Amino acid sequence: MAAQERSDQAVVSRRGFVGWTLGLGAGVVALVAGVPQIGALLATPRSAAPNEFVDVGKLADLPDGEPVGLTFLAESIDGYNAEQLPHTVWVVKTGTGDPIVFSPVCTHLGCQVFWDKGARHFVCPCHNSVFTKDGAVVSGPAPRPLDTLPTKIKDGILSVRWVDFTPGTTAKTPV
Amino acid sequence: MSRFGDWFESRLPIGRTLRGMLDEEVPGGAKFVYALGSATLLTFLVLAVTGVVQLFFYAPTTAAAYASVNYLRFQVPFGWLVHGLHYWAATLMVVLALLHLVQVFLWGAFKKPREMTWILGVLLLLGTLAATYTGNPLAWDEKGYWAARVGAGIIGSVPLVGGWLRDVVFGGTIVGQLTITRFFGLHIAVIPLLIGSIIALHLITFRKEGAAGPIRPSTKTGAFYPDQVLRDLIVFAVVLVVLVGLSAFLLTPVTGPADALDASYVGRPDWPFLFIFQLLKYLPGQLEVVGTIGVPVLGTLLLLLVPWLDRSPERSPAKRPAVLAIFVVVSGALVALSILGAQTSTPAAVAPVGPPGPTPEASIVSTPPGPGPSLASNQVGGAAHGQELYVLYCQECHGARGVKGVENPGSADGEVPSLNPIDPALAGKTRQTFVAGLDTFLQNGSVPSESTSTPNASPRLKMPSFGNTNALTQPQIADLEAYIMQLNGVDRAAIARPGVVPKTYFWISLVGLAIVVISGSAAIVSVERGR
Repeated sequence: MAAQERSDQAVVSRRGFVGWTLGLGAGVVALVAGVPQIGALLATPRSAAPNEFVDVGKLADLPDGEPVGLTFLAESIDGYNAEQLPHTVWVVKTGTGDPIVFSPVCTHLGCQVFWDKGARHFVCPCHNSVFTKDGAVVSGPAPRPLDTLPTKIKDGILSVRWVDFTPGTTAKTPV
Repeated sequence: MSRFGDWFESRLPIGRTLRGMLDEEVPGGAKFVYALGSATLLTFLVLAVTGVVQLFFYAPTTAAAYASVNYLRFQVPFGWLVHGLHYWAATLMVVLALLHLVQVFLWGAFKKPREMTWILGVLLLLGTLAATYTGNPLAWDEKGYWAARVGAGIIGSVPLVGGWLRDVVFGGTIVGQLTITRFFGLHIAVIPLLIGSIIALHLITFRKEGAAGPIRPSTKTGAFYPDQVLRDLIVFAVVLVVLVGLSAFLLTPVTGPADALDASYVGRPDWPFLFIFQLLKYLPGQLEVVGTIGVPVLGTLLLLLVPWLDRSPERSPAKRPAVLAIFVVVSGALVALSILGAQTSTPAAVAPVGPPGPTPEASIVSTPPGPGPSLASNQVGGAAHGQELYVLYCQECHGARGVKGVENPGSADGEVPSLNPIDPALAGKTRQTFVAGLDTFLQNGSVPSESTSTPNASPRLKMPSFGNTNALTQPQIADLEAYIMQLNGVDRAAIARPGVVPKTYFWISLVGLAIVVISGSAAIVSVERGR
């Protein structure tokens, strides 16, 4: 009688055991096979090395008080492509002070701003953010002023280091 | 059935399965309005077929994507139709899915016990929108590129996980090669497989409960086969006529090659997302996430919960005034925002006060012209964007629409050459010689010959070098070339090998599909008479 009871219990638990084994086994198989796939997809891609300072122009050539767009080539690493890509920066020289160099990337969502000579404002064509000559937000959805880029001046030549910043946030953080 | 047919059927029961699928009652009788779901399915099938054909031509790299798509459109026989059908079927699939959703919503067809069919339907709409979004950047044209750029900005601005999420979806901090590869994988494999699987589940749950039928119970009943199937066939023919017609008469737009430096192109999203684009303009920077993430997520959740928010068994819209009012307000707001977003003007084009990019004189990068044709001359530019660039960079000297250049004292001609009409020697005989002729000037600039009447004169105005100085990017030069060719009556994006000329093909297909509609209608009438 006691043996019969034990065997009844054993039947139930054996079934459970088989179910658990299958579930656990399938789970482990899925993990072993799946983790590398998901890991590859979710991994942060190779980050680009910080760019070097690049000469962009002679200080003496810059107009006073008028933003000017300067283009230079900087190395850009895009996955497995490393290319010299043109970048544009907006340089504002006022009086004898060091010029301010703005990234053209709108702080809202990353479109390219341009200098509207008539209105004397920087304007983003995407969502109509407007900035003063000094980069401050006048109107539109931009959450922070235009981003300034690190500069160096040597022998009257202005050098700029290209940095990408995260758009859409109030804090200016490099991506 | 033949002996072979019997042998086959007994081993692979296709006939029995098909009969099982077709043998269904349609409560209230078959109707044309019931074909909305099937028509949406048809557009998905068209997208699947044209998508697979495009895979035989498309190259998912930043260097080749744009050219490979244009090769299909302009050089491959019927390529214009393959690409056009894919483009317009994508548009129509969203339209039909939305109409289908509105229909089910207003008729209360989502109510118990059909909640799961509704949820799967909403997921299908989301999948369709995801496919729309990931498809655009694959062409690597201005429109697609900037949609991806702004999308990356939106995702990156999500609090806490934004940066990581952007890296995962866009393949890194910049929109480039890894973005194309990721979007390619999502667009051609992951999303279509998900949509296909959910369609299967959607049909299973639909068949489990059957159609909801008319709002007022009716004793009338019809058969799915042949009553509804014949009506579906007629609707399919009409949808195909519309798709071929759109492809033939409204050739897919050429917006120009993707250009990361272009500040004069207004990045505007595809039409299903225009309402968010417009909404963003009203929100201050701190509330950005509310518009980009909050509104879409909340909207989706509410849509998924509709069967639990409107639980009364009442189906008539007239007896659900609150539901009807919410529908009118929400859809009215969405339509209004979309229309406002579509009307957005380009600030640069409205107020042409100066080049948005760097001035040629100020640019210090100067590289000698490379050997062979330039990147610009090998790309099919977008004439519409070229026109905007023309106003900003060329009009000052060459005059409005290039008709008459301004005076240029000291030059042999005395004025800047007109571009419309252009010097026949420059235009050349073929499209390629035309491009090459223009390209030399845009890349290198030129100094006009001196006036012979006044000795030692030097021309006051010179053509600046736009290409070699990087004052304009290669994509911008390609767009300008397309515009100047258009001024001279030459289409840069002309179809070289159409297979059959688009409009001719439309008339042929119209005849074929009209026969389908007529014979289908005759069959419906004969079925009705037979009862």
